[in-house]
Amino acid sequence: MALMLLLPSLVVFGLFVYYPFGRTIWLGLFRTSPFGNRTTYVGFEQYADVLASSDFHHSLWVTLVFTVMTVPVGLALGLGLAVLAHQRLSGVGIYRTIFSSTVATSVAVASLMFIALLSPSVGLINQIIKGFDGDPIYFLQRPGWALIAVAAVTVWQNLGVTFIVISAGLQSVPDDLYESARLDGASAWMRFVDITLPLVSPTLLFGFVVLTITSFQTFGQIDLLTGGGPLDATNLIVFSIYTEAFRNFNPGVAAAQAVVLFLIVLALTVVQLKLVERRVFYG
Amino acid sequence: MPRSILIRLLALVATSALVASACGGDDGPDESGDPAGTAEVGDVPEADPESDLAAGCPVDVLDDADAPVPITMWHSMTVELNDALVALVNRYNSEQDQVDVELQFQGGYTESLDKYLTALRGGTRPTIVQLEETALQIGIDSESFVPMQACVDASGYSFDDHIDRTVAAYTVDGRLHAMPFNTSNPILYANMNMLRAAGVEELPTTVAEVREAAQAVVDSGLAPAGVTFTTSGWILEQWYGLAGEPFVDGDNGRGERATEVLLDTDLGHEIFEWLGTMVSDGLATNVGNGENAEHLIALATGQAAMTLHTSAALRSVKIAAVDFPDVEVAVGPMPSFGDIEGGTLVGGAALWIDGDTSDEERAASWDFIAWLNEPEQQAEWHAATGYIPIRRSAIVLPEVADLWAAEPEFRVAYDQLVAGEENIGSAGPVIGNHAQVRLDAIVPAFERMWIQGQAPDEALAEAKADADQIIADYTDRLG
Amino acid sequence: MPGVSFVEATKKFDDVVALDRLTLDVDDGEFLVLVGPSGCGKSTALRLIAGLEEITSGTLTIGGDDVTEVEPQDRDLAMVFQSYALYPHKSVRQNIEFPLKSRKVPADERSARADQAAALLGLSELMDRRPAQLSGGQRQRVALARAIVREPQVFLMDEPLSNLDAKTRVQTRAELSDLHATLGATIIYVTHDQVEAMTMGTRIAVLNDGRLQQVGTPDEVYDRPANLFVAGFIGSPPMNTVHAAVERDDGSVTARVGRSSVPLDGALAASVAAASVDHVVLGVRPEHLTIGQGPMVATVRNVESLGHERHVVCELAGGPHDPDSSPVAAPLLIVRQSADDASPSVGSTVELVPRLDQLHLFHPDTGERISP
Repeated sequence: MALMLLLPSLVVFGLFVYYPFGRTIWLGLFRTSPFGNRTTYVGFEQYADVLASSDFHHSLWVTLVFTVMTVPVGLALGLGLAVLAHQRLSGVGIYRTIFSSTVATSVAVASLMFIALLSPSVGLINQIIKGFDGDPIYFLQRPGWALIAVAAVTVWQNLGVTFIVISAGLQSVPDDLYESARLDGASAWMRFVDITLPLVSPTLLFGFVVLTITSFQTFGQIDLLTGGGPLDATNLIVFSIYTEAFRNFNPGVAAAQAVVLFLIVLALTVVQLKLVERRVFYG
Repeated sequence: MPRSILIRLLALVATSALVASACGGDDGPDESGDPAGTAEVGDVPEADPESDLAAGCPVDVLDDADAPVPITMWHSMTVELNDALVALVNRYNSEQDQVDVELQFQGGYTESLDKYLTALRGGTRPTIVQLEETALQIGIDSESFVPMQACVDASGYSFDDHIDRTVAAYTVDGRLHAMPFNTSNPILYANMNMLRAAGVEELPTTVAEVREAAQAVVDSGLAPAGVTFTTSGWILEQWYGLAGEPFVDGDNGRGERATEVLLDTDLGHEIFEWLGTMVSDGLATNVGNGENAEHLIALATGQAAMTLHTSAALRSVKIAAVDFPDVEVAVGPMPSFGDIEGGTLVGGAALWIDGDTSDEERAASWDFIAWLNEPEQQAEWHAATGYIPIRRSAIVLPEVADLWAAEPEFRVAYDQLVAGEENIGSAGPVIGNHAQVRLDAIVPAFERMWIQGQAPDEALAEAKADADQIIADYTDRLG
Repeated sequence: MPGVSFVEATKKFDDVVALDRLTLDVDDGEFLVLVGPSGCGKSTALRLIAGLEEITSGTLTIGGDDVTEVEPQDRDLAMVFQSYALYPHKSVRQNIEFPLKSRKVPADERSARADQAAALLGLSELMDRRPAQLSGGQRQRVALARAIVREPQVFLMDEPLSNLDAKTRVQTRAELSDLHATLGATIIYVTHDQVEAMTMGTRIAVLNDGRLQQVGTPDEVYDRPANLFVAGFIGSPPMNTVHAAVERDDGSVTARVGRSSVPLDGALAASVAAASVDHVVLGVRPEHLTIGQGPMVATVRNVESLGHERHVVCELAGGPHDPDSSPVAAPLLIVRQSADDASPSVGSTVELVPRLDQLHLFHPDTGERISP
């Protein structure tokens, strides 16, 4: 009976998750023709090649740097905004709407907005720089800036979700704890550090893990903003897998890369949970 | 800057990005040869009704069909290009009752090709698919299309009125593989006002003149740079085409499968040297991959005086330029390195007939494709989009003649294409993994040179090694 | 003097008046209980003192100083919340030390004072536990310990016993009273439970609908309720109140309800005359009625035995005097009997004897007390 009830979801998961996943692992064992119709078994050699590839290392490194740039900043900003919007002030509902609005913005729209914002010739930021007699900055066209620019778009894009999730976490902290802390003489900073942070720590951990996974899967803004360049400065791992599979017509190698990525993200998540969980208060 | 202008610029960004992707930002092969053995590379194929191929496209069966034959066409036309294509198809469907064409938009050329190749492993395939010119070799390698030569042979079709090079471009080993449809090539865009202010009265026609003009602009302090470059690989191939030199071995990949890029030549070194020093001497700026029309915006906002871009964007550029009274848009042929001994390459896209089709569907596809190639349709298509009319007799039709009289810029690309000499070089390279060669070998070399200051010779050597490795890997995997 | 004074203090939430022109002085060292039904404004009054809400108009002074602009942490008071508001992620020790830590008290002194407060409340064995590992009564004591550790001049307590079981509640009531005696600090205590109010307060302030009804010692409030609301709210079972007609005959004055007629003595008669009314609401507490030979005739409707005593519910014969009788004028009377007395049988007709010196008279329209 239990199996019967589980059957629909098992079928769906099997068809759309486990089967493709198994196929991907399998495909990674083959060297494939550009059309995938002719394959040669090469076994784990292809995985070994991927692991040894300097391009793959580079993509992993860039992804790691990107994650470090986006996740802590994203969490901190989300937390900051959520705390601000948690105040009992008139009109705070307007701010909450604004802060969560990026949820309703697609990656494509966000990317187009930032293209307009960051354009060297007409972008607002460069207009301001020019106003101070500065030289325009090629945010998306220079290796030093491109990753920062893409990270900024990503942080902005994720802010809505982060804000909503942390806001929900804050809602679950009873008001009287804050009132009690005020009467106990705690400063605003102490209330934040001693009450807010520990009590939203499960939410922050959740956000930490989810944002990390998301950043490892970043694709849309790379495709639209930089195409992985310049000089592979923004060639994040998923984008590199995409180009390997669909531009270079090399599905076998792409599959092997995808499996390695999966293992890395899995390991990272486990480590995150194990390391950080000790510092989280679950109530 | 007034808000309305900013909005127009953003619109330009959007449309130019679409145009750029819709025409591939590329230009491809050129002329080719006759049937294997006898033909010279670069020749236009002739119909041979007796050929073995002809049986693969029995064009006569259409007359026996009881009802209109339904066919589907995957395409990548957007915005006004889409509107123009829809108009053509609607007219075709209403003017005859043997074929019923259904258009299906599949995203850009890259997505469309991805989808098609995926469908080969199981999935719904179209009857006709529109693929950009860099897909020529992979289209052949996929062995999944009916060679267009089959229909040409079966119908006894004549290319006498076509611009030869547009047909030759899709001919490999003496056999036509896809039918040309939307064709473009690169031209020089300039702000004539700025050039004149810098003392340059005529548009440059050679790269040496471009350098002089850029020097004049920079010296006069009118703009931070004379030229904007995009990090795209096609510009390099265009100069090989103009010089009439093959870009890859094996007769530009048309006689035999290419094994290496011919970068390590005098021309190759000359091009890298020129591109590198233009930037290092402060005469040109690199504005990225150009997908957001940053090079055109730089022109519009007075950041530079010249840039190179596809002719297919001319309509969008002229519309946007209305908001910039200081900018006088002038366009000229692609500046060359020395003497022109070839021509700019045929860019754009061609139509392919899928092989997993019935006789009736093939015959119906050919009927439709041949109709699209008729002068009337090509004239309408040119006037609506700016793509080059590929029939000589199209240009005397009122739609084209009137347009050219009113806006002579629109004939620059046509004249340039017609003027080109037919040879192996101007036929353009045929490379299996063409897009990857550009993006993973050529573009990074430009970036290293322009951004990191790598010496042109070193950039060239690395680009060649990378490209050759990519070609070898592809060929090897092909088995 | 750390007394707390409200003068014409009003608090509105948008258009809702939570507290209406409250004027109240709380003396130093006093255990004042704010009592009233939910929504009466008692918690609002407490939160105003704490500084958690801002006063809308009027003034609030603590120790003679206007505290409108003073932050909660600077008011030298501690509060025990109904939920206790213990920090769930901190140990008992950390909870108790938190107010000291906030005020930068050195660690060793902090520890010593926490131990002292814990000892006072019997928490010494529980210092390393987290709140989730404690019983309700223990948590309540942690909250108290956290309040007293800082030795504030004023304690605010918001229904601190409401989440405890009955037995713990009785015990804690006593402990709180002892604590008050030990610390000698001012305690302002909010409750809806009149038993807590009667047993713990040195004075009681009864609130209803945001208005102060009466302030006084428990005895004063019980013996001389200022109006019908207080009469009905304080005391369990509540005071019996019935509408009665005033009848004068040959200098004697009686209050008549149906077939019952209760003679009013001189002082009462004078108060009726002074109020110049021909109807009154007659009030008499259940313990001041006995079954025997008397002026009131009633039918026994129900007998509720509590073991140690008995409540006899009687319906006055002749129905309500006032045809449009309101609930307070319902002709039901409760008689409180000792368990030793003979129980009347349900349905029997009995005569009731009120203690004539324990009658209360209220104005029939305003509900204000008119008897002395």
